Amino acid sequence: MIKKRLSAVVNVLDGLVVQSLGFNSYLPIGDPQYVLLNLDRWHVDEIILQSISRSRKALGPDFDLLNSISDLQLSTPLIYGGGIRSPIDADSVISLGADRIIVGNLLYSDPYQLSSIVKHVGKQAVIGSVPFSSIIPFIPINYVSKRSYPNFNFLSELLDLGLLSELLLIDYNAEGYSANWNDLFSPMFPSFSVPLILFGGLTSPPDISRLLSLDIVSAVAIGNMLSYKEHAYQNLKRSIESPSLRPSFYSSVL
Amino acid sequence: MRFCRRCLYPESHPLGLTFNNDGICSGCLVHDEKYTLDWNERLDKLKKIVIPYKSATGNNYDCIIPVSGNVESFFVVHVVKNILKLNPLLVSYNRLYNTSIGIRNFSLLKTIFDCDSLSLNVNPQTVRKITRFTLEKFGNINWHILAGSSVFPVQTSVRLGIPLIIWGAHQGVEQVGMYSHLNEIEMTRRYRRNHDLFGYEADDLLSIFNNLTDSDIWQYRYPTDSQLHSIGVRGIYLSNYIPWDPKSQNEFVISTYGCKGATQKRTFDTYEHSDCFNYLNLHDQFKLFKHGYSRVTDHAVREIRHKRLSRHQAHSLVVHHELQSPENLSMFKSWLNLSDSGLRFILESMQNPLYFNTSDPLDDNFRTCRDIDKSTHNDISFDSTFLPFDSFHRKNYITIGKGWP
Repeated sequence: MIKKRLSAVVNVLDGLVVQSLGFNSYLPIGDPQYVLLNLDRWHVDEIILQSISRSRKALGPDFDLLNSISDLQLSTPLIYGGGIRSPIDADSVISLGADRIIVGNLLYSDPYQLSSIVKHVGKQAVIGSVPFSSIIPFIPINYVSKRSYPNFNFLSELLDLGLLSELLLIDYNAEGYSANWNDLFSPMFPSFSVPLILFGGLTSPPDISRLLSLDIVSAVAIGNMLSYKEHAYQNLKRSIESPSLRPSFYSSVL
Repeated sequence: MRFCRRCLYPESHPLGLTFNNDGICSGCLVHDEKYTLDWNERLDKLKKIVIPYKSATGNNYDCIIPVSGNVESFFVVHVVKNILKLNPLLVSYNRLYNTSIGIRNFSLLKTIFDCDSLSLNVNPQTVRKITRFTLEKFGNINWHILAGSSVFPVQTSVRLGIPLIIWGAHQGVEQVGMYSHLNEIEMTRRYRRNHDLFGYEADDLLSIFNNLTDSDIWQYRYPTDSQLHSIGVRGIYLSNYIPWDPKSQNEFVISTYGCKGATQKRTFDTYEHSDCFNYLNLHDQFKLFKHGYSRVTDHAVREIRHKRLSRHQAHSLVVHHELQSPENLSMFKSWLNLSDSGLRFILESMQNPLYFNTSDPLDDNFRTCRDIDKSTHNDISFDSTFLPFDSFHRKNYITIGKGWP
């Protein structure tokens, strides 16, 4: 059985790792290399490195960031998202050490580029990111333009073409806070044809365990809380008590 | 350079600083929680947190408190013993730059609170070797103090099986609002490496370009994750549960327990760092050169946030103090066997061109918060006087001191 994943999200803003609160306000945490080395030592299942505001500022991927971490020799799978606009961007990001990439704004601004990107790097390497509002239930939001969409139908064609390996669903309002994802079970929530990674306000072990038991969910992602306490990741994993996850690990290396 | 519109911190603060749409920094925004949170409730929560750590048999310590000859240590021990009713083990790292005031305070602390204590004394030759490297590499003479004082409590926790470590304030929360008080941030190896040790843990000091060996640095090694996990080591911060106000707290313990501060030229705060000849002198000079601000700005920002100084008053104090010449340089040069020109060379090499447009480190043409937008100053008068103390009398490091008074 393929294990499910508890992913660690690292948000980087202008070269600094930050706590992100509702895509709107940010508190400083520290330098990316030390955060990533720490997560690597904790043997997290994978790292989702989000370079935020790149698309909003039309900056493209953060190659300075990727260069700075490429020498760290991380053994943890790394997923990068932020500013990817073209196959060349995708290629460059992967050559600098990312194992997979996330495309977000591109899904709205230029979905046809996605096909070119997938041809370059392969479908398995491409994850789509869709923030949605749970306040007005399940309305997808483009965080760059702040435009909301009436439903998820704009994704249908992309999903039907098999261009995405997974979909990262982000509860826009709960990001950085605490959320109730039980409404995932609601009949109003669309059914997707690709596995889901869920992110945004997921802090409760019973909720995470319940979500991981759904066939459609391949991973749950955790962000801010990973920096609050020592071994936050391992202790959360133990509390979840899900047989679908790899066991937690406490390194004996100095 | 962007500055907070309420305090004096620059966007280049080494711990990282973010701003909201009104130009107020994350440090000021998190500090405002001190006026809105229910602190009685938070203290009750702290009391519940420590209950499981109380020794059932009385045959072991309930917790570890990292202490020094600094006045702040008295407040932490006071809270742990008298409010939380715990039996702590005091642990300390010998900083070597010890003043007689610091030795006196430290002896008084152990005596008056009737606590057991352990100290780590790394031999001075090793410390000199390490300090030579850290001084040259990143312009810091305090690395050994930061490393030793942050690791010895954790090592002791693992060795003696005392899981709970109680610290005073979390610097990241207090200065730059790194976390909300409600996040109840705890001690982490990652924070220590990134922010306390400038990215250099003990093994990172070893290099083919210096003469440091394993025997010099093993004392500063952090325990492994599995060692920490086997004991359940946990480091909590009182500042998440008590509205942290160093000035008020220090004045309380000075009047209650008789500890002493010192008057030092580079700041108006007479309570902090009276135990060290160099912290508010040479170390502070390096901070100014590298980061464009020094400890007096930290003190001024703190007093602005506690509404005891206006921004205008704070700015004036910073301008007055930050370029005062550091004292006790001869003592340090003699201790490290460093020449005048050698120290001057290192100082100049550490000048950050963002702040300096002159080659003379003592030139007044220095850009710091003196360039802030003065239109945001207000003229409301506040009172932030500090108790007067003498400056340091004895002019030599006390490597090992004993007794009080």
